[in-house]
Amino acid sequence: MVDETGERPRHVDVPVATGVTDTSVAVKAGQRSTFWLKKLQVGFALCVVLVVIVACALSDVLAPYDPIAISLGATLQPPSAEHWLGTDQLGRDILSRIMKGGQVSLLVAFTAVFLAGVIGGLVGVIAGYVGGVFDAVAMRLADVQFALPAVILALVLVGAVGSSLFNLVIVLSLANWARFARVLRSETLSLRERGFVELAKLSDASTTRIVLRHILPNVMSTFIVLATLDIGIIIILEATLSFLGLGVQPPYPSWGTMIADGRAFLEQAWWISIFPGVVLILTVLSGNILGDAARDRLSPTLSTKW
Amino acid sequence: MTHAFVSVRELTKEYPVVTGFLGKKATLTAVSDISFDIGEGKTFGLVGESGSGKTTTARMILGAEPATSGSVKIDGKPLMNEKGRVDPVLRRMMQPVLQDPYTSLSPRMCVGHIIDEPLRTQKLLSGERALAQRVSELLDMVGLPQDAARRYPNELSGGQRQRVAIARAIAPKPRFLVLDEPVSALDVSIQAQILNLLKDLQSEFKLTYLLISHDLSVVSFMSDAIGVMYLGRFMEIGPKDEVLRRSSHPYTMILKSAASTDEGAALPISGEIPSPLSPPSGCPFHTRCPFSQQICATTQPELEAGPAGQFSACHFAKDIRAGKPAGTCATLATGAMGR
Repeated sequence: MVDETGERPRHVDVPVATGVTDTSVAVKAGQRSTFWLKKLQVGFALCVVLVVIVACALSDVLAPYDPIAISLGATLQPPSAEHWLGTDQLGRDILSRIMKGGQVSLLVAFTAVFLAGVIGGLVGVIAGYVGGVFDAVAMRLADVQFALPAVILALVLVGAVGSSLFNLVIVLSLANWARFARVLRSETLSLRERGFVELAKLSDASTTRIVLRHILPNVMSTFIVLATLDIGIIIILEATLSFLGLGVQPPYPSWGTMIADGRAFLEQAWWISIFPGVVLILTVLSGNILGDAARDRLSPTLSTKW
Repeated sequence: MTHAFVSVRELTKEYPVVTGFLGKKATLTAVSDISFDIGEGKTFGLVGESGSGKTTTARMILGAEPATSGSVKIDGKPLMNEKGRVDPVLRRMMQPVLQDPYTSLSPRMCVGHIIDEPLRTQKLLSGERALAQRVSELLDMVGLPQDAARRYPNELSGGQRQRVAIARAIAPKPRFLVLDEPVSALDVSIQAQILNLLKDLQSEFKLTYLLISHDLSVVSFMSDAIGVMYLGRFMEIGPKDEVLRRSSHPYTMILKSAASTDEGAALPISGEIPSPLSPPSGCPFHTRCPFSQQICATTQPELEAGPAGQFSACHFAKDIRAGKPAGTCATLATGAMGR
């Protein structure tokens, strides 16, 4: 619009900003300190995850004791040079049990995230791109899944089919596919309207090509972030189920069962529950930090390179 | 008169819409009864405000959207075949260039693959070698360095991205380009470069352009003929010089004065373009027209031929051409001076 003096906005001289360099330097300095903090955080998370994965994967070789060997002469021993993290009520070495338990927990978590991600992701992308009946049915199923708390669903399913590692993986993926489906569907919905999809359609590109070459590569970063964050959620869910006695069965340890077993001895022998708990928290936290970092790194527009 | 390469007849697009709490059905007329021809190797410019139906017209001509009624012929052949699909030969013949080079290029595809996509999908060339060869030719044509092929769009500037979009469009050797606001997302200094590139390509490959823009200066630089749209209708259409130099519709005059750099030349216009859901009675422009008379609110003016091949949809087109009536001109003058 035109103002009273009849001058149009484009003729108004923009006052030259002074002190621009000073502020930008200050901003840079601020950025640098958070930048280092972030770098440190990510480095720490990476170390934790690597140590946990290596220790658990090689637990059969690295563990100082047999994780299921009962030693009634050495029950409830506090952390010492011999048993770094102490022993439990049956004299089993806590460190060895954490390593063996992690092996099971991580294997279950990675498999479940993979299954949930692939199934949920495909359902989401197809529902978003194709729409119609498939979309409606898939999203109502997802609604049902969201309405049921994951633990209850898992309790019912494990109760019905019995508890085994295989069933545990299936139950955990069933409890988590919907999140992938929802997020990737909405991502696909917005991508579908973008110019490059329109252009591909106008050059006779097939639906398969558009999904494979245009949609999937563009939802990949979201997928990786979701999967990284989901690993933490699934580890906790697995621990919950094991804690309730529906997951990994004794004598084999899992982080959840170890925490459950130690409850009765919290006053005399805190180390039985606390150490697996701390490892659980550290692992999940590190997973989340790495998930955030992956998001920052993989987003082409928001590239914080480090 | 050159042979009409693109011929659009009585093209109309209506969208059924459901409004209000009770779900009352209404019809939104986005484009209404549009007809024009584009000669081979010529440029037809469509101007108008946002919401005037320019992009919908372009999408119908591209076959991206089915027309409610009317027909499009390209090179004498109807765009839609008997099955209601876009004729595959014609589809290969025309390519769009979209407005925003930030969303029209996939951020996860390198420039080489963006450019060769139509060649792959339409199976015009095969073999990685031949494709790479063609991509390198195309990069040369649009003035991009050879190493751009391996870059990703986010490493390029807006102007470079639009060059990529143009390279992609001319890759299948089309004869007709639909340019939907090709430069409106770019800096003014870059706009001129891109427009000159488009002109060079046009004369080199005898391309026919349909250029859509809200910027009158862009349209006047590029076009041979111009159509001025308002609420889905042509207000004025004709050869560029006639429409711009001897405008016979108040809307064109207002657009012209708004684009002029001459201080104090702007004609008064108020408000926004009315909703196409409830278009004004009579002349669609009468609610904002500074010279509106009683007849304008009741009777819709038809496009009527002027002396030099231009058509104007205004009851007073003759008077405007003749510089009459005094009342109109007085409004014009005071309108300009009162500011």
